[in-house]
Amino acid sequence: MNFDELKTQWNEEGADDVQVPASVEQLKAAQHPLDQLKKNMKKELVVQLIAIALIGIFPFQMKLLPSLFPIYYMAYALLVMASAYYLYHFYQFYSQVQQYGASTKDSLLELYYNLRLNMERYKSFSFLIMPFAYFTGGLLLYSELKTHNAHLVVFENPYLALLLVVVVTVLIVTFTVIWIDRFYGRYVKQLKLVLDALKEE
Amino acid sequence: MTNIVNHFSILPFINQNKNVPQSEAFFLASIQQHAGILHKVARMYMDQPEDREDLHQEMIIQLWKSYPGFKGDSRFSTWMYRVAINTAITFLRKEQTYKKQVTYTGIPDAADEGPPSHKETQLNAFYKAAQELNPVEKAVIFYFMEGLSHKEIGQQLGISEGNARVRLNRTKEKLQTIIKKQGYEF
Repeated sequence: MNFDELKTQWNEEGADDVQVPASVEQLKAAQHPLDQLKKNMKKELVVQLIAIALIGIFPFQMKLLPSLFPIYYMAYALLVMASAYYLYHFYQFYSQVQQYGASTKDSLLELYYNLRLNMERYKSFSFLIMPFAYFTGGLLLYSELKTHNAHLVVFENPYLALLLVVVVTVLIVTFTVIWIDRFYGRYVKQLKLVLDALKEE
Repeated sequence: MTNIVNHFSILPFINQNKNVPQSEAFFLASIQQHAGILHKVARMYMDQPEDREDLHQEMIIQLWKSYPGFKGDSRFSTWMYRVAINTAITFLRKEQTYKKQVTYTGIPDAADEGPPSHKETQLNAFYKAAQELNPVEKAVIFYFMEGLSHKEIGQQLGISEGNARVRLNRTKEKLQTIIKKQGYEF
């Protein structure tokens, strides 16, 4: 194969199929995986903020015993503080300007580690919410039983209650991991392959 | 503004539309002037015309987003190479609704308008073979075809000059093997 001959043809090749718009406004919305990811994150951020606000009025909606309000809101304050920390970092990641001007290895490394970091943040945030969810569930159940002066069979057997908690935990953890993998997985794997291919031999 | 000042050669290409800001007009004119980079990167990385069209758009979007970071320290084309290649490497093609196998459309069927010239056949065979390279190999061979030295290829990819040389030689050998396997000889 004669590369010199090929280079001549390469240099003579036209670019008729490239449509450069008259203004940047005419460009379509970005389809890049990272831009898609950011769009999804924006939606999710809004949903999370609404969810946190709704959790705040939960005791009123569920008619929790007023005597339990202080306990609930102490736990809720902790949830809000932790959420603020995580959501702030999610927002920071979201609003980071994506620039590809650096060398391929530097650009991809930065992107890869940012994504991995965000995946881990996402997991830890989801796992952090779990104890609060159990706590709220327990509080609601207690309030309900107290109101109706009743009791649940499951509380008579601590092993059964423990099994219930373990099963629910496993389900939540599995769902979270699958969800995050679906969200970022394909893209992170692709980046890893390219970075591996760039390693010095 | 430095990046703009450095590009007087693109003045004839500048959009005269007064509604378009000057920096944007310079940007688009520079892209128009170097449209060949977008065309070639897309042909190297995508085998379907629809995917290539999407990639052209995406590269222009990412170039525009990265444009504030272009300070004019390097040539516009050098900066454009990086952004275009980095975008192509990280761009996932749409879910395939057509046949997964490589149905490279650059080589017309015999039934199409007349036989391609020897030159066209060579270049098409080259692009077809390039589809079998990995993203980094595609970048290496692209830079080589654009006339970059080993040192420059290394700088663009973030690898050493020696590594760039080794990779280029291996990729050229790989390409030759693929082309032979595909039944072309030149």
